[in-house]
Amino acid sequence: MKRTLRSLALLAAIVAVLWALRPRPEVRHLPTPVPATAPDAGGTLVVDLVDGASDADLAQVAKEAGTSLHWLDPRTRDEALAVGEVPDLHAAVLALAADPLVEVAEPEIEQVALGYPNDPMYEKQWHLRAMGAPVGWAETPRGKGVIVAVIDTGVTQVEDLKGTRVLKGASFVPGVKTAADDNGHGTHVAGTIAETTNNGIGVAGVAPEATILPVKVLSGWGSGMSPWIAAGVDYAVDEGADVINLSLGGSYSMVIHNAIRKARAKGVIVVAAAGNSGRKGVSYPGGLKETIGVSATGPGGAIAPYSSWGKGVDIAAPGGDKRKPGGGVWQDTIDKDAGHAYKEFQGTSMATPHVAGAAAILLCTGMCDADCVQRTLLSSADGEGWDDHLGYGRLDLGKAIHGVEESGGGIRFFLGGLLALIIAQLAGSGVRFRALATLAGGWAAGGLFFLEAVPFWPDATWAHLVASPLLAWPALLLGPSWSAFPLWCSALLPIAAGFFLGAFRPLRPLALGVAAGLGAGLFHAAATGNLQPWFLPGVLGTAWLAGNATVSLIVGLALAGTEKLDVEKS
Amino acid sequence: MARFVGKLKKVDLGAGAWVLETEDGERPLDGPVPEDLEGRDVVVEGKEAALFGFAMTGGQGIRVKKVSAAE
Repeated sequence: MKRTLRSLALLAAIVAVLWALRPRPEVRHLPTPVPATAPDAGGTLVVDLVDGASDADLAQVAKEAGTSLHWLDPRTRDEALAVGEVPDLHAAVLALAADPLVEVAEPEIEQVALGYPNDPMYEKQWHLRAMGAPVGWAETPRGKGVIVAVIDTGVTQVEDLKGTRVLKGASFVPGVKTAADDNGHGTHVAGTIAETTNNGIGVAGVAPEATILPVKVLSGWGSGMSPWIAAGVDYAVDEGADVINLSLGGSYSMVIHNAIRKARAKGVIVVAAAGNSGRKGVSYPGGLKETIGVSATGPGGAIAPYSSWGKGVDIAAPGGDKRKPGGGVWQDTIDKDAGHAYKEFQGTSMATPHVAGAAAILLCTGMCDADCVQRTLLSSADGEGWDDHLGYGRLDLGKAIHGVEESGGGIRFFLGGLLALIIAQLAGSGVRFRALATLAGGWAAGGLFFLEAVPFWPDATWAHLVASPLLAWPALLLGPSWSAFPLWCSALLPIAAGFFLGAFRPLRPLALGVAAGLGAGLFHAAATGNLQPWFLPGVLGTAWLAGNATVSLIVGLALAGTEKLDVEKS
Repeated sequence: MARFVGKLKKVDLGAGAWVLETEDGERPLDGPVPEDLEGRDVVVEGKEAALFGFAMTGGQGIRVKKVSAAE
């Protein structure tokens, strides 16, 4: 009993350390040195005043800096952080260097993961930073294996989309044979989702490893008819799309509704624009309950003046506001004179692909199915409850990723490790056996997720596999929906591990850990509803997961029994 | 074929979309539009249609046959 308690205390200590090391954006987003600012270069100045500084102190500091400063956020008022635009950053920093009211003054620095991305125009893409795209780049496989259908004016692989996987797609516009873009809208939308990123040219996209499926349903003038769109949705589902982006809208159409209903039933996430009327009343299909309806925000985070709002808005994302210089959404798209050009567009059309890209990022982790992704995007949005302008709030990909990790990785690791340890205790074997089983159990259930936080941890498939739970492996190797393949989320793997590995004594703790860990992972999935096995809707799926979790634990117990017999023999 | 009268306007949404500003509100246009008539009163010949598109400004759409300056 004492030994069990000691082991449990050790496990708790290990988990506490791992928890402290869990991935967070600031760990991967290493601070970069303060850039040398050229004289006369303007920009945003960040000032950290002494704690407890008053409004009068702020006014005095602002006067010395030669600008107006405002507190960064009321929630961090105690930290006395202020920001403001200055015409000459260099002069402002020097002016405040000796001020006793100022602890630190420096130009605003964009925190990015180890210099990623290197696209020179990324600095213009305030919209990617606002929705947390850098967290997705740093901590996930960046949409790998996820197919996003862009149902729009078509997609052309312009210069900065050349490194992106773009499928052939199809056109449903009468008289148009290919899915090439003859307007510029669809290519811009596709770029926001999966622009080739970190290629040293142009701009970046939210999920650059995702695959784009172009589906042309709008003519070169930007309009289309309901049957074309319905056919496009059906086609996207048949072609294996995981996410559908609909940066279009109109009045209610039963044929489109029906197609979207079928897409949702097949586990496809459908994201649609709220509309650009600037009034209450969301356009369709954005207003359908089966779609994630997206309203648009400008650079300041407020709803954009053109955005429609009201019932049907689920979330807000950056759509741009060109009244502010550089306030649009930037992407590479076709241009009738130059062939292609980097252009800033605005609209709920531009907000929607930020959400579609975010969905691709969450799906590619393999830790969340379509329903879970939809729930996570809305619950992690930066809002307080629902309101008719921003829905559940502004898209926050960083919070969404950490929500999935924290509700998954840490808890599952702990559960898997604990179950494996308890079962290993019954074997009466040595410390090595228990330690190996515990580690294997934690890994099988939650993955060595903390490794993603290690600087220079490779961005390779094997590295993602090591850092991910076993249940997420099919998603990483075959595509996001494969984690829900019933034979994978079953006791099949523990039985195989028990049979093949358990026969060899040195490998038995690994087999026991896999059995206990996968059991814990399946129990967790059944309890949270994060995984819905194929062909097994609702309670059937839950029963499948719970039943197989139980069988997995029985396999673990059998392995412990075998080990005990071997211990007694020797 | 019907005739619609209003002011021709290009709205800065997405890649830019043409609308006819009428007393009843903005009506999205689908079809060839002479850019030099932007901002002028025009007569649009065409057919009303339940259009879908990226403009999403609301209002019943018009499938354009011809746009000419109003006299």
